[in-house]
Amino acid sequence: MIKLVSGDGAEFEVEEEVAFQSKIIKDIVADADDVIPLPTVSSKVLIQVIEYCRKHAAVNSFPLSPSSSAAAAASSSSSISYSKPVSDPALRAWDNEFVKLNNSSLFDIVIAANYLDIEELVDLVLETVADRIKGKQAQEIRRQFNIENDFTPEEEEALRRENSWAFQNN
Amino acid sequence: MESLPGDMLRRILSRLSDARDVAACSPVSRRWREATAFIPSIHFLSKALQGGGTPADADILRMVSATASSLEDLSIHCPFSGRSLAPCLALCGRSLRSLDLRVDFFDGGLDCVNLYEGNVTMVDVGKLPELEYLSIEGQHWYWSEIKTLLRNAIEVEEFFSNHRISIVSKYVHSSKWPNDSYVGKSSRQKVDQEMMTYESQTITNVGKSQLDLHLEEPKLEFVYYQDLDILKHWKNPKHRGAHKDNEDNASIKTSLSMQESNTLEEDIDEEKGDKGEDFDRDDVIDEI
Repeated sequence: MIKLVSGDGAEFEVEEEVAFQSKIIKDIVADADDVIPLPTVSSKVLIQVIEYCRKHAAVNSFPLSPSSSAAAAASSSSSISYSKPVSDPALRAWDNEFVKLNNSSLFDIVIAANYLDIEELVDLVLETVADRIKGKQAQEIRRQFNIENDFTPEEEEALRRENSWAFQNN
Repeated sequence: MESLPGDMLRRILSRLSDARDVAACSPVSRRWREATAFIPSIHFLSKALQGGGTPADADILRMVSATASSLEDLSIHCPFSGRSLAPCLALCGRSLRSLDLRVDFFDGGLDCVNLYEGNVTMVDVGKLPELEYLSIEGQHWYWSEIKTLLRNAIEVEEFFSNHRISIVSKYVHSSKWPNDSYVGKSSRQKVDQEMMTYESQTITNVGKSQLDLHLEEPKLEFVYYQDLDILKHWKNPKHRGAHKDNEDNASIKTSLSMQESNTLEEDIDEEKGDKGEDFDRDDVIDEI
């Protein structure tokens, strides 16, 4: 068992294969301690990250069926790919439920996942955020993510004109 | 969002590829505008899939120029003139790994790069050092045209044997090709690859494809939808449910809307048939 300590001092005991979903923890455990302080991660976020790792550790411990691993190999060979799609449909369904969170929770998770080097979780969250951008106009994106418009009115007008082709007749 | 480190924002925006999404992101804020410069993939979709707005040559050139240093994957499936293609490739050619063009020699507002307006050398493969994949889709292809389109015969032959090339055409005039296997093999590869990508994108969270989910949707009762304009119906995002709005699905939707219209048509037949009225099925299909 490995003990993770969140920024607010809460302790979480997890199995090795769960904690080792994080490459950083794997490296730390290899040459040091079994108690790992994670000062920048709050317990709320750590609970969510452990939940994700527990699920993925359980699924990953079974070997993939030959057909799905062949499909995964084929899709990763395409010329430009940013993330490997999770090939197990049940795990994908679980992932889709997992990311049904508000934007700020997702950002907390992705910062923690990036810090802990859990590449699959980072990809999952970034993909989800990108999906929330798709099909929206600048104003809607600002509202959704609470972003301040820091252009001068003249600059904004110029940009609006430049990009106006994309929103005609919509 | 503002608390996310800059490289995270860049990684998020790098997952966009539809030119409309990219165009929407750059006016959001200064930070976003800077991050869009790192987007590696821009796809200008065909008019039908754009759903209205179509970029002018200047819009395409401006967007390519804004991302020029990182652009790896460019596809142009909307009207674009041949004379702008060379400057466009000059902007992004050094980093380009994949180029997908819909091309034709005929004028007349086609959804493609119109070579009629350009000079003869369109794609100078010598100036695209990173190019791994090239797809040129057109109505008719003769080898002589490919040679004028690409730079010169010897380089092109060499290029064909070293790269993944897909020449997609309605009519391939294969007797003119120096080696048929270039075309056959490569387009097969492309189809396989597209199928894989399509499957990976469309298998939804219940393990069914979006097509299955579509087919399970209840039939629209004609009585309640007598005034239904099927094209408007599908354009309305409310009726698309949770389906992702991407190119593959849009093409499926087109075929689905045809299916849907068939059931409508049957309804019409039933109703009109009872009253003994003469009704022309083909007119309905044409209208749709």
